[in-house]
Amino acid sequence: MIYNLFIFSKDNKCLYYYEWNRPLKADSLDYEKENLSGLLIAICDFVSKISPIKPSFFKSYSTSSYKLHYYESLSGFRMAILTDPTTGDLTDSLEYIYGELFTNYVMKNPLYEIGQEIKSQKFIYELDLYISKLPFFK
Amino acid sequence: MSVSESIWSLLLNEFVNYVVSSVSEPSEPTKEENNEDFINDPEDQKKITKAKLSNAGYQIGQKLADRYTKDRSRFREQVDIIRFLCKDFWTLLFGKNVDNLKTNHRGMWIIRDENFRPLRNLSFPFDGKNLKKFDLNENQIQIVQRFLYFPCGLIRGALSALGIDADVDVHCSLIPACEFTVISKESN
Repeated sequence: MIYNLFIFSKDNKCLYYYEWNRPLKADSLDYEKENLSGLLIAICDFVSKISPIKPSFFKSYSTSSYKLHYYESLSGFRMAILTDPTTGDLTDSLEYIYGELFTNYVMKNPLYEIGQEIKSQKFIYELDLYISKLPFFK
Repeated sequence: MSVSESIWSLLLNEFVNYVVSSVSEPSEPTKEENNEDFINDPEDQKKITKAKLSNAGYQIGQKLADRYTKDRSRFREQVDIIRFLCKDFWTLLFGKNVDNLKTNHRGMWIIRDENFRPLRNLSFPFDGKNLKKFDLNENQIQIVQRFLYFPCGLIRGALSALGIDADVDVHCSLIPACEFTVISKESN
């Protein structure tokens, strides 16, 4: 099951948040966004540093009740999706969301300026359509 | 030769935004000199934006028509020119054929494109009501029009270079579809 999704900009601003299933509501969403962004930066930095073989990239972590999938673009946009812990690898889906939906309907939208929150209806619509069609959505 | 689709759509977007802001906001030095280039009336601003974008398109359209027809055989009738516009020219510029072409056989053509490239990525902020409803309000239609003045100019320029002196107008009520009306000035 897919719970929710965050998109962060390079400078740690949360550009987009959406929740599909979330029984336990956040106490403060702003606090949660800010902390998650900080946590992800720290994890990415740390996992790479302690890697015994060669630099490695953070992909996901899981707890007893959820799993966080992470994707970072080369230009510094970062995405996190929370799902139930049994969900497999989501790298392909995250790459699709970034490569097809985000670049086309956000970056190429003439009305979007870099750094703004994402409000484009087309993006929100296409994202919702894509996520709700994934086999492990429910 | 092909050009990256991204660069051309991003460039067009910036070009439109640049012209719009250059008309509606005076730059610093002109403010001081009290330059008469600065226009206060929104209707005039709209007209000047339209003229600037459409003229730029006109120039480019004329030149492109030369470039794109260099290996073709001669056009016999007006309809050949229109056919060229809707197939070859449209494909080269917008990546597809037009979806529908209507004519009254007296110098008027209506060209419809259901997925017009310059509008493909345009999207307004979601108003929080119905995600599946993409209807535009009056103000949004005005904004969409801005991105169509340049393509209108391109078509007018190409037709003019090939021998049809025409007025080209465009209407969009649901992105990314739009309808161009071409009226030949010789028809009357």
